[in-house]
Amino acid sequence: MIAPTQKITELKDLLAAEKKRSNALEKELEQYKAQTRYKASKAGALTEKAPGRFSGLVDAYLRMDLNGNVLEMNESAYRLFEADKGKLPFNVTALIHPDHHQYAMESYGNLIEKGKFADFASRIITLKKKTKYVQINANLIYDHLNKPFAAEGIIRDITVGKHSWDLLSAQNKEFSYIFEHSPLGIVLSAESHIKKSNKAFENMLGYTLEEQKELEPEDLFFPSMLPKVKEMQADMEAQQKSQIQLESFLRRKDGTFMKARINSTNILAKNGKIKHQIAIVEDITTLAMQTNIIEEQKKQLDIIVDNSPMGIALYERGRFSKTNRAFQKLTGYSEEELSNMTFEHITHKEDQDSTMSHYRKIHEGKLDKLTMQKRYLKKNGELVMARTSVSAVKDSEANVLYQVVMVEDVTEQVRVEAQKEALLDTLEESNTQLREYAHIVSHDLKSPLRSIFTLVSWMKEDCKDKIDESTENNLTLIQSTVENMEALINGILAYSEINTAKFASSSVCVEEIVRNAIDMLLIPPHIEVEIKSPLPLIVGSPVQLGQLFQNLLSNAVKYSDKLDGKVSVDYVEDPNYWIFKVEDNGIGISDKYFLKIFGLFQSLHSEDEYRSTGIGLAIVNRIVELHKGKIEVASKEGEGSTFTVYLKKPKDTFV
Amino acid sequence: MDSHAEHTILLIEDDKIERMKFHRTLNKGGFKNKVLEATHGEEGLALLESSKVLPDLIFLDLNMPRVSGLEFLKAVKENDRLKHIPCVIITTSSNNKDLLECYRLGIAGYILKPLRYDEYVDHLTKAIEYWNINEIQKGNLGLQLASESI
Repeated sequence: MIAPTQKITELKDLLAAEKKRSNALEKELEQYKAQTRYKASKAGALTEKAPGRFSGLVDAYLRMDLNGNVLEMNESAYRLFEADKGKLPFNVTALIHPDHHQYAMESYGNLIEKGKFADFASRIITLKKKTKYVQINANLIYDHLNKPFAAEGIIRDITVGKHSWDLLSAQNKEFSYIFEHSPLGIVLSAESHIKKSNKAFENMLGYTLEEQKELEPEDLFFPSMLPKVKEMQADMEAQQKSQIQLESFLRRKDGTFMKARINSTNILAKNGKIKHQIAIVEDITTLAMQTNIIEEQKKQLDIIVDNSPMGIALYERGRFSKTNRAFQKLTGYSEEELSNMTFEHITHKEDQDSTMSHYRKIHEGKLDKLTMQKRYLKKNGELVMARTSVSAVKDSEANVLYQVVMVEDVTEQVRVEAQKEALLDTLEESNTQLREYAHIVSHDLKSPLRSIFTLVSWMKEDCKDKIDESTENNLTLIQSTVENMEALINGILAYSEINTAKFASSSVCVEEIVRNAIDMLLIPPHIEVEIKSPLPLIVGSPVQLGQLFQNLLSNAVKYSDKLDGKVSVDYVEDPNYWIFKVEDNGIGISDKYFLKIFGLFQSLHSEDEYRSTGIGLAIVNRIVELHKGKIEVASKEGEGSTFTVYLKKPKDTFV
Repeated sequence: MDSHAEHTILLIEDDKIERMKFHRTLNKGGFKNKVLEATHGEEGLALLESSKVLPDLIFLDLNMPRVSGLEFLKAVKENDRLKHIPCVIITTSSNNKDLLECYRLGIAGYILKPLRYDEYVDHLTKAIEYWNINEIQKGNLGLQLASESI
């Protein structure tokens, strides 16, 4: 931007100087001509040895007869026409460019008629066939009879000047186009005031050129930048610097600010003083914002990476070129130490081969990412089990630039997991043992009961005629006691089964389960059991849910005291639960026992009222717990009870 | 029923009262079946090996000392001479694991001993009646099969 502008100025200056010089010479020529005329009139004729003073002229000097034959030339003329010294005389018509023939003849006519011509500009062809631009001033030379006998002229080579002008006008056009259409603001200023600026600059700040001319630096620059701006300006003024660059906020007309990058250059006049300054202004507000965002993000990323509990490293050319704190802590080495280490150095011997073969696959581009669990050897010799993931970062041509390594210390996790597994195994084993134990115990307890029952039956059978009624009643009581005891043992066995058996979850049709439970119950004819709404398909343990409804329904039937007993099963749902209601119009439960009834061996009735082991609802409660649900009871003594069972829906229910 | 020659039954049961119940039920029901007895699996196996004429049907308890019902069953099913004899389990164990194992080895029935004597009589009577109307290959079926194949 600056160079062409400078060149224009230089060329302009050059031309102006040339012009000045040419004018001076012309004046000189006029003087000389006057002298010559005077001399000629005195001497009567001009000798061949004409005044030698022209031979010293910078411009070419030529004298010819009226036919155009050259009589005399100075050194410059020889050079201009590219004539050999011995080639004189030659005729000047040979020099005329074909395009200018007519123009040359007219001018010659003018010369003869008026005695002189000035500023005849034409192209000539030198004796060596080169085209040159010349400017000629000529006049006739008269003899003592005042009759012209020869002509003389000064021929100036303006080839360079002509080119410059062409160039200049072309460039001028280009530059003014660039100046006006540049997206960059261009400002010409002198003495800290704007003299000229382009459209882009106007648009940036919102001031018209007229307004700009009135602006002081204080109006334009962000206050905190002013001292620096002034200092730089002073440096420029003092010519300690010819060019400055600064970034600053500039105040727009509307009071907002823009961030600008400013390049300012001194343009010097011929005398070496500062003529003006040209500044190129670039709006970097968006760029600055983006740079800010990127820097902010980079900062955030650095913070995240550095504070990540996961070890992160860049692996480049077989070395850890960058590592975060967690990685350094995990390996026990400093970033500097790691920068000279390979994977092999920090890998446990037994894992080295597999690590390096994995690593090679990544490095050779056969794999993009892999995860492995391997042992690291710390600086202090300790072993660390860590989950390691390595991913390759490639350039656009799929060459691996470096690998990102993420390492998570799972030593503790692996240990805890192993512990957990062992614990689960033990638990499983002890559960199995417990289940077996419960079965054996129940068998051993039930066998004698069966024998007692049988023996009592035989006594009653065999001594039918020998025992009285009260003895027979007592024998029957023994049998019912034995029956209670067996029910108790079965209950305990069922309860222990629930706690020790594996919870096998599957899809369960509750409708089917409830109907089965109803079928298995001995329901007296005066009790009506009804399923009020279709029962759903849910997820749970089929065995346990069967037990749940068996217990609830058998209770509802058992504790019925009405002539028209009614038992019903109903179902609703909410987003979290499947909700079942088992309702009866039986004896009901006092609310002070609501909590107690779900405890093990909690029975509210004496043997002769209702036979109960106090295990049924404990089993129900436990099953509900295992299904992550809850159970509620609502009841009024003498009117009936409603048990509401909430069974938790799984998060992703497929039913 | 009279037209049938009643099957010979081997009862393997360690509990004396259980054995008494079995006999009494058969007597009361008027069954003519001949009943052999063993008090545990080991005795049962010895009896089978020593006798020339094999029982037609075996009623087998599971929880027994020395050789349990399951072990006895396994030995019978692995013995070519014995494996054809139908074995009916009569036990206290409602353990699902036992039930599955019995069917895996090969049984002809699985009866749970009820607590009440009258229920027991009812169940056993039905079972005996059922087997008595069944045709069962008499004698040493295993030996016969073996000789036929030669």
